[in-house]
Amino acid sequence: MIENFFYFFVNALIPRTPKLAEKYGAVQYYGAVDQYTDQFLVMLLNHYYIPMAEMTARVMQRYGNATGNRNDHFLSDLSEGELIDALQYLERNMDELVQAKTPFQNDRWLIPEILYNLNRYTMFGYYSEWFGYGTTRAEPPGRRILEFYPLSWEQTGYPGPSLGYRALRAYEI
Amino acid sequence: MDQDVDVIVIGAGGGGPVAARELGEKGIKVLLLEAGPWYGNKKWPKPNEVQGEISSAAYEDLSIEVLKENFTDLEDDMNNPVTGKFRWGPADRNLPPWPRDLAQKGYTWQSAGVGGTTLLYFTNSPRAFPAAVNGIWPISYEELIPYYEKVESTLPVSPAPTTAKEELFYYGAKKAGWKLLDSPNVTEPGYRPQPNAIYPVNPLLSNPDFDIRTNRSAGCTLRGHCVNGCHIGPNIEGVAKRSTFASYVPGALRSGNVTVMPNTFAIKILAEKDSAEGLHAVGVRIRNTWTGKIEELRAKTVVMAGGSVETPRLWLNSGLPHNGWVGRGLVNHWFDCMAGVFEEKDLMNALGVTEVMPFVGQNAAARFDYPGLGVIETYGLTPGIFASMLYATSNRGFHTTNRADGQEPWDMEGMVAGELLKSLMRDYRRTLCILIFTDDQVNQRNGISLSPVLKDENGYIPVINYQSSGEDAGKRDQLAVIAADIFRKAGARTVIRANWPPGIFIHIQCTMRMGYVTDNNCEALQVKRLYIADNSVQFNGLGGPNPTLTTQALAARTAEKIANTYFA
Repeated sequence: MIENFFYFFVNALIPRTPKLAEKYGAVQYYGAVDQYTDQFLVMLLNHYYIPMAEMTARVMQRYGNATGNRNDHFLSDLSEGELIDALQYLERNMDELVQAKTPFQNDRWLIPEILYNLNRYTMFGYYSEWFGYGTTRAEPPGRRILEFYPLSWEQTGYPGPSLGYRALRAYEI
Repeated sequence: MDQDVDVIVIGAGGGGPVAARELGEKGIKVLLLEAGPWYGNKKWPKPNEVQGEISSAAYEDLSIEVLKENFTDLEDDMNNPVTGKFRWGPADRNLPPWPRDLAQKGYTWQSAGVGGTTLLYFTNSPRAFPAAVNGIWPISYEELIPYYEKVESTLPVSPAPTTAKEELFYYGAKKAGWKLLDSPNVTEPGYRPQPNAIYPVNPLLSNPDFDIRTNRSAGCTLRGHCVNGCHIGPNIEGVAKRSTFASYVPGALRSGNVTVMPNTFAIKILAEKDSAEGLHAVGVRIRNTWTGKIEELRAKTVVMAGGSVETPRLWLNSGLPHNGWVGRGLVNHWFDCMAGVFEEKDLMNALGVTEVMPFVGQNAAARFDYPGLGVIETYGLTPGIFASMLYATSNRGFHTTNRADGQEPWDMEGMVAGELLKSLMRDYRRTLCILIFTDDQVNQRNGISLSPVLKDENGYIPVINYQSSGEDAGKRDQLAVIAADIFRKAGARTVIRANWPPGIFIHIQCTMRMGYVTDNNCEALQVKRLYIADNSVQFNGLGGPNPTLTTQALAARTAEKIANTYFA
């Protein structure tokens, strides 16, 4: 359930985009699920003080169900417009979720911080180098090796880290 | 009782190393404690993997090679808020970050480690607006000036170089009718190069024979990794970006009187009462972040410099006397983030090139100051942080629900997802971003308190709360309108406003205010021999300017006061 939830969540935020690919080249097709951004999210959330991925998925799914979605996988099988509406619905209900949190329950208090930052983490994961760690992606951070540059860098035209640019235009303005 | 040292400084971030070095240079023995790791020291070749030694007091221990191995220029490795090297957490990245209870939309962007948040800061080093200090602070702006000058020459601070993104901003600001400011003491609105704590551009950079791969010479190379960690230079003290680990800490070590102890969390201020001084600080209880070993160190004076969240937390966890302003009065400049997306032809027209290149040049090198409202400054970053700041952070939800009604001067407001997000990120190289810092007002309601129940290994965790006022919102909206106009004048095709929530904590200030928690010398009113040398002691938000330089100037002044009061 966790894996499914995050798969559909990242796919809603950063989908595959065949129309962009047609217009601007094949690399623009790929989206978050192609870069395993759902796995990035699960790893990140489970690295909190309390492992949070499962609880986050459960809370979000519960609110998703309130939207009357058609199956067990909230955010799946929706059109792009409906997906954004669903994300917006979650966003609107976060305040309510936060109000409803029970601070004395030790396993719930991190929920608001995570819900409020889920979109940020998703975009950070997708557009950072993380996918490029390849076969070492799931290793602890100190044991990873950057095997290649992520597709997302090619999509944005970010050339990767640099030691310098001959880009000085002026000191006086 | 015997003292271990003369002064213990808690926190090697923006302020602590300034106090430590100034004291050390006066012959006073200092122990500088830091909760996080130390990057760039031979005693910790793998600071995230192996505990290493306990402390270092030798300039010769510093190593640019060790720094280069650890600063990888990769944003997930360096800046991931949970697992990155620049996070609020212990050196061992297999452990989670240290928890905070932030029960509102937003996040705190702070780093542990020698250098603290200056490891990742943009180095923007403006002075306060004089009008935000004079007649308001317990001390005058004029009294700060010599300390500003001292820090500006020590770091050093100089006007930032212009690459395409800055030139585009200046072009728009000039066309919008704003003037170029030429004084560091800002009294009227206008634009200017950032006063940045970065060495000037390496003159060899324009030499075609210069080999950038083997470069070990001094000077900025405009490579755009300020936020990911700068390692450009011949040695640690010569690193282009002047984080305190490269500026004040090496100087402190050279004094021969300062020992730095990383991986050490201060969990209690030790205070005793006697008839001569009343309640006064006598030392600190510390906990090693690798071993969990707890011990107590004694000193004649203690300086708290753990930042505006941890300093009040430490006060409260130490059971020091009640003060209605401890932890209260928090301001954070209620940030906003905006962007202009440009067409190639419009960039050609303005700049003679077709791209803005947000990953080139110093991360934040141009600014617009408006005393009474706040600040607008440009930034350009690597794509992960760039996307998360501009397209994934909003108080207004997704942009689709905030359809422009033709009244607002921006085309979109709120988060962006789906095909449009990817389309806009395709325009990354032609996007210019700005941040807004609001001149937000101190309110005792806002601040840091202790969680009544949640504890980590360092004590009850801090609860952070900040609500903005209607006046703050008005100022911020005015700055957004000005920024949109500058984007339009520069030729932007699309202007985007993220509209950030109030709970984003980057400039965290004023939680232990001078005049309320401390006297004018930054010594605690209720606990003698206990001083404060971080952003928390600032009286207000400076009118909007970035807080680090003012904290550093105050720390230099505080060191002088400590020396005169207790070590004359």
